[in-house]
Amino acid sequence: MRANSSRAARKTMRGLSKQAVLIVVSVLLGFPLLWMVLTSLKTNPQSLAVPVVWWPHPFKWSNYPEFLSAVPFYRYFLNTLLYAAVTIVGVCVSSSLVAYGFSRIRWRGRDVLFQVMVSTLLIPFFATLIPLFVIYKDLHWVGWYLPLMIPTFLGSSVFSTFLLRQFFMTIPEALSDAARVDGANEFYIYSRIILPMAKPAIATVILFQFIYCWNDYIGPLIYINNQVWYPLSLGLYQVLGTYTTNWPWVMAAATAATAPIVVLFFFTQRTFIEGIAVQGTGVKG
Amino acid sequence: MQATTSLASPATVARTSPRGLSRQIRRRHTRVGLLFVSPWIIGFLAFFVYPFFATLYYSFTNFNGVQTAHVIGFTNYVNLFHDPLFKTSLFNTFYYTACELPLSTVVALGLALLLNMEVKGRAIYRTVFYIPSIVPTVASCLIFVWIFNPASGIVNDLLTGAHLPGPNWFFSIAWSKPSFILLGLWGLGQPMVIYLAGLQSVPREMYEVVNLDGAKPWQRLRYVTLPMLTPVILFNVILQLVLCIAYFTQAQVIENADVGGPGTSTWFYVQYLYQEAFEYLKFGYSSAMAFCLFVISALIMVALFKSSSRWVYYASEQQ
Amino acid sequence: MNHRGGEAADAVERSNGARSHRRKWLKQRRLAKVTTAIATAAVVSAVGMGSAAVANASVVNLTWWTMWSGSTLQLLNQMTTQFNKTHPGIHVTETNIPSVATTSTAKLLASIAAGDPPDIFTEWWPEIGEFAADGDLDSLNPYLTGPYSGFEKWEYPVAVQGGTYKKQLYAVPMGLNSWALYYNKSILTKAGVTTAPKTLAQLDSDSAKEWVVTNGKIQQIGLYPDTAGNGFLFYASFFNALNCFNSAGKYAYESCPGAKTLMNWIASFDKYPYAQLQAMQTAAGTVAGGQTDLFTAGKQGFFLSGPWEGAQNIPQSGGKGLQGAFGVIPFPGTVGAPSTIGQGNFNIVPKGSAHPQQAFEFMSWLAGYQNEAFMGTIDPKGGWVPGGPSVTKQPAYQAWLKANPWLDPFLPQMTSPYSQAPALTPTQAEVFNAMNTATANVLQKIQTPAQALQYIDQQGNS
Repeated sequence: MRANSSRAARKTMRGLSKQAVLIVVSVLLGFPLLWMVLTSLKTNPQSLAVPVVWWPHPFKWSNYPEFLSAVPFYRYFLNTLLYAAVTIVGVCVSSSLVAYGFSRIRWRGRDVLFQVMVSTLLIPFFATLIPLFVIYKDLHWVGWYLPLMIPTFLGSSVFSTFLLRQFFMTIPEALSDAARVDGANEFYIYSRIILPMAKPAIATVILFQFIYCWNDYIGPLIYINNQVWYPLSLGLYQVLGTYTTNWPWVMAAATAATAPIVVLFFFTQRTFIEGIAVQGTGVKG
Repeated sequence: MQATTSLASPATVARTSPRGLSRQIRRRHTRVGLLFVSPWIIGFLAFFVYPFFATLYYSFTNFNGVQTAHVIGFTNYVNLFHDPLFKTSLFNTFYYTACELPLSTVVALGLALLLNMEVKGRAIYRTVFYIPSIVPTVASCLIFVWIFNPASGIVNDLLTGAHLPGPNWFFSIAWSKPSFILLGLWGLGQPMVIYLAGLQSVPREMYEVVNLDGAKPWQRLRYVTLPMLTPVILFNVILQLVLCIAYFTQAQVIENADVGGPGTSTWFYVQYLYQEAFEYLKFGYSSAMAFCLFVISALIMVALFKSSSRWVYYASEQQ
Repeated sequence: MNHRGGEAADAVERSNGARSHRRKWLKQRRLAKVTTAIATAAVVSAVGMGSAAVANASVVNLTWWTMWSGSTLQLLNQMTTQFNKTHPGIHVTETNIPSVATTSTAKLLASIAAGDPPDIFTEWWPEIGEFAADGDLDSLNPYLTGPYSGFEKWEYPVAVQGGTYKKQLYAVPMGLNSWALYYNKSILTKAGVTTAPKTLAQLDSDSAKEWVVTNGKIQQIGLYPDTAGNGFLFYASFFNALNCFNSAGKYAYESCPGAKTLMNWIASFDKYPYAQLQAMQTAAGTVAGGQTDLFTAGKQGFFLSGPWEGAQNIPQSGGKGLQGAFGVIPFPGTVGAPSTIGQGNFNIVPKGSAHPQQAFEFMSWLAGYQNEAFMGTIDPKGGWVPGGPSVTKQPAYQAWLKANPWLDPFLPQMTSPYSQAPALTPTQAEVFNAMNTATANVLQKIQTPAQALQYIDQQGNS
């Protein structure tokens, strides 16, 4: 009896201490965010006041509609969704195929080519900008999202390919072998066996691609010439202004840009984080 | 047979190099493999190869971005080696990388382990830990600069309240790089989530086997969790390397007109490259810079991959 | 790979291979079809959307890229609308390029390199020399004919100087900047000074009285040749130190007496805590290009700035920090008459522009040429000095001047013989950055004034 209650007590203590640690870390990571949201509700002089004013009074909720009306917010939002949707399809299709080829089939030169692919990330973007721009110009793609969309169908997201490849490699080879012996071809194994097992990884890739598109400003800045097609990220920088600093507006814009992703993440995290806990059936003998 | 990134035990090698696979079969494997990889190959040939070699070519010229380039041999590279700002910016970038890489790995993994615990409200904690990485870059820079402002920021307020010295953070020659490192550690949501997904993918039976032997949590971590996570660790380390050597936006935003920070303490390599290319129109010189960076970081990456055969464990390579 | 025996496995593989090959080929073809369909849809929609151009073939369409935003952008929109209304043969479409970490220059250069630039671009002025020297800009001289033959005479001399490289005109200002010394009247009075300083020595002593530093913390600032983009270069005209070249045409600040005086004067401020001051400026809002500053916050006694400070910054900040009022005086430098550096926001025509002549028409109209009445109403709203003096004679502009007596010093400086524009050279941007770095280094005691001037020369002559 006493042993049970002390074990239960120890368990509660452990549970509480876990919560305590999590709360402390949450405060450390979270209070800059709290400041961001609070500042978005201040008036401009209040946000610059020294000593620092933490709590806005009064609450200037109008910061939000004000900056939202400074740019065609709804239109920019739709543009971002289009950009994200198309590239997500492109990435899922091409990166999974390429990752499969780099992980589930053994062929000569595979790993060297893989390292070549990863090393393409090492040349700075600004260095190759002009020659690359000239290529896109010759293809008549400049002016809209095509230079940002079409390459994703050609494995341009090395990040996604690399991530999927690492996940594919954690699946025991015996699974593929068993299927091969049963007469399956590689594409069958890819689509019917490996892909379903990699759902958490695919979901992760989708989430990250969405977030990448949501915040990507440099690509759209360089390639899009018509304001009507700007994504939300460029709209944010339009609001920030070149010659005036309105801190509450900046923070309101940042909060508005962050909030949808927060909601998205909160409700979808189970899919890719928890997903399938048991990987494969293991190998006996 | 081709060497693969597997643990190099003799038994494994024997079993992973199947005897008797005819050349025909091997060729088919190569064909199929290339077929799967072909989308990337097409994209690589179309959009990477030409710009890459164009940049290499420009590094031997005095290209100004628009007009025809005149070859000037190795002049750009020679000038680079005599350029104090080249050395400074390279040093700054690698200082940042050398600190950020190990720290970010430990912190992101630590956060993921915390978030993997079975506690109530896990979803909320995960969301809070993740949000810093999705705040738009300019906004997160402004927030950080404000919080760490030596004149009016809360961090120094707390430090002086605790009778500790409050450094000048971003405005101090000694503390500016550490300030950027801290900024980098705040927004580790992405690697953290990937580690979390990796943690969840560790097969339960692995833990069951180990628990039977009476293993403590620390031993579980060391002998089961970490080895299973090594593919993901390699991934995150390589990606962090890429991000660190390309560090640009945050530095530009925070330094504003005072590019390079106090003294030249936060002149990062890509900032200098960008300035040479797009402000001074010296594309030949900046292409040489790009190439130097590429060579150095490619060497680091190859070393990482080579070393990975010693510490990365892929289930698909094992029996 | 686990193979149960060599030959049998081979046979299985081979036969599987033949069958599966066809199946896989079919599946992959299906996949390719889907991919192509999506890509085609994207292309079609892009082409469809892209044809938003004006259908009328006889109208010349100009594209104008600017980096302005906020209230300034609204003014630009008003100007564009008015131009389109009064010039039926030309239609200007303005595109706002958000300037993030100055990456908009990359966009412009890429478009010039690809042969498809905008017709007009609002350029950041230190870049004009670089761009002109490298052949990235169209010369405007061919269009200075007919009604435009009097254009350069119509402009302020500094406007012409600031837009000319090797005797060719490349840039036309949309608004010029004039720099004078703002002072906080109540801070001055509290420091025990009754009248605003008239000489440099008086300014130095007044500033010293205003500075209050307690326990290493800055409470109040007098004057500080600060470096948020406003260092050596912006004071140079007051010391006759702006364009120092030697007989061979190379930069020679090191041996220029005015430059030496100026740099030593800057060095006299190195006793104040630089890092603290930068931190305070950032706290006041000068991060990411903003210009809410310590003067509008009421913490600084003297501040070198332009008309926008009083026309926009002070009113927009609520002016609460500015207890009492403020005044403006010409900066009391070492040269005899009032002066200013002549720079501003210039429009340029990139090389490869489709309609350079119409582009120039638009640019000159924006500067106020043959458009005085309209610009006379717009410039006050922006707090701008126009490209030419005749705009300032317009009734609307005069009314603005009368209603704001603090504006008095700004205009006469524009025609002062001591005012100069920074010379356009192929290394103009290097010199601009070098001057800022040199100022910061001198104030932090990282370089001596002589070393700093050497550094500027080195950068300019590289």
